[in-house]
Amino acid sequence: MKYSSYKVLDFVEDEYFQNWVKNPNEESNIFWNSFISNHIAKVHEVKEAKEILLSFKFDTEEISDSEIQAVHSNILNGKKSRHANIISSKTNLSNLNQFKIRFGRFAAVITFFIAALLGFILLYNQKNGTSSDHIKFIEANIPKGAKKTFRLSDGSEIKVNSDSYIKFPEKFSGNTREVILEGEAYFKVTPNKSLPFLVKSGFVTTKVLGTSFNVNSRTENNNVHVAVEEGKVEVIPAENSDVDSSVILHKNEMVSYNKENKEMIIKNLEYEQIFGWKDNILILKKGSLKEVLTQLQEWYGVEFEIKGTKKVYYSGGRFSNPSLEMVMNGLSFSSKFSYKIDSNKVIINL
Amino acid sequence: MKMESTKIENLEDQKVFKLKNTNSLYHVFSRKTDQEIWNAFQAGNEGAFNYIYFTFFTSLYNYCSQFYNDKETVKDLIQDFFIYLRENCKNLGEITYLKAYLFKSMRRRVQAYIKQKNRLSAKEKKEFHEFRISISQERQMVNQALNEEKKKVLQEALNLLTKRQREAIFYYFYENLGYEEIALIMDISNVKSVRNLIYRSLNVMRVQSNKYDKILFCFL
Repeated sequence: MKYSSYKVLDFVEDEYFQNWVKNPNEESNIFWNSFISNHIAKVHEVKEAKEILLSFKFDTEEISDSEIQAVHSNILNGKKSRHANIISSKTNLSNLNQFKIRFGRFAAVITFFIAALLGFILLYNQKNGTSSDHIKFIEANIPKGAKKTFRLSDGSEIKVNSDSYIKFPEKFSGNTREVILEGEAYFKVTPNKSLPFLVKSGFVTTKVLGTSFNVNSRTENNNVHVAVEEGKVEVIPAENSDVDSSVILHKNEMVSYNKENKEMIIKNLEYEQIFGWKDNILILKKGSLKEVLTQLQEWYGVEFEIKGTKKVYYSGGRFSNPSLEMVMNGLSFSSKFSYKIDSNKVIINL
Repeated sequence: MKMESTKIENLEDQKVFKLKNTNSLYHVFSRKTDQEIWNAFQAGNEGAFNYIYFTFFTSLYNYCSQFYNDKETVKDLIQDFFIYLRENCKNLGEITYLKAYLFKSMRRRVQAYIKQKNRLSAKEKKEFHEFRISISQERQMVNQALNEEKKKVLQEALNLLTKRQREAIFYYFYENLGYEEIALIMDISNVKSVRNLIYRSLNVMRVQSNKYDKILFCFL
């Protein structure tokens, strides 16, 4: 294989290598990972070449989100800048021609169609807009180490897990009850057949008529998990309006929506694994020490520092209403390490 | 070893973060093609407009700063461009690549601005080093393969690049654009020439490769 004699800069110049660094996909990942495992001596060179390609930097001054927002509102208000007259209209025209496809005689028809559509959209927005102008939204970011329960205007209850974001109107109006979620939350929805309850999260929307369930959109690979405790829900992929692809879930079922394959996989659920957190039951999944600590980081909002390189594997555990000390005692005993809790930081000596 | 934060802070996440407060726009549009987003925008869909704005603002800002390094001016120019887009959305015709289109439009606007400004105050005219490229010092990777000495050698090599070569690297590696998009923006007639341009840019590093391998040898 030609790559076996490559040096750092050969990799840097190689188009196939560049493409892998720029936009890795399954095929190129397989190729390069197997290349590395067959040519251990090249590991460092591949890494270095990759790092070079990712290290190109160009000078710019930082710009903040609030500045971006400010420019946005100027645009919406049509407020032109002091430089506006410097740029002549000629600049705009000449630059656009290249991108235009000429419609010829159809132009008029199409313009009319667009105009009609625009009119419709304006009307539609106005109709909805008048009512939505007065809606006050409640938004909350729940940090790591915290949980919070919200009661909605219809009597429904949402318990939001750590490291999550939730947004809902102070008072529901219109034909649906809509909530936006990033992260994980447990919902206990007050039944109301004429007002469907919608949870928009990640790549799916969950539609309910009155039930309790759990939505988790902060899992690995951006997959979304929806699990039903009581009743029935419908899970609809957001970017896919095709109703056929939605899934009806019943009690004790859960679905994982895989963003990559656009696949819905239905499974029976382990109750405490999914719903335990809302009753303060911590289920630590088996895995490497790092994976276990990641779960604890979410739960307690603490930092971990690991000293030593011993490989540690943890076979899982269940803790009811646990303090950090309790969990650390259990962990350190079964995995044989010592630790020290220092306010917001846990130091582990392997 | 210090635990890294568990969330991968990639560009996509930042986008989601920025769009968090503008409803779930991201979820609606991120799966659509450039043409679909553009058509929605042309049909007057505010969501599509906001998606375009929040998705591309930072890129456009960084890009314009390569030609003219003045934050307020660059912000103003982008503001005027987006107002222009809104006012003329029906007359804009179709696009093939959204990002390339936005880049190309802004490129003309910034360059027109600079030209005009230089005409107005010829005395102040300064040669600005466009697309100033460097090897990032901030990137702290867990297994840092590049040491300071190597970075220094690479930086010397980068200093030999022409403006056009630096610009091509900006599009290809920094903004992750494809050959066709780069050809459109840079007014290059065919994709093959873009490939050559990028290949030659990286080949410049060869000039320094003797030195580079020596460092490699020392550290093995």
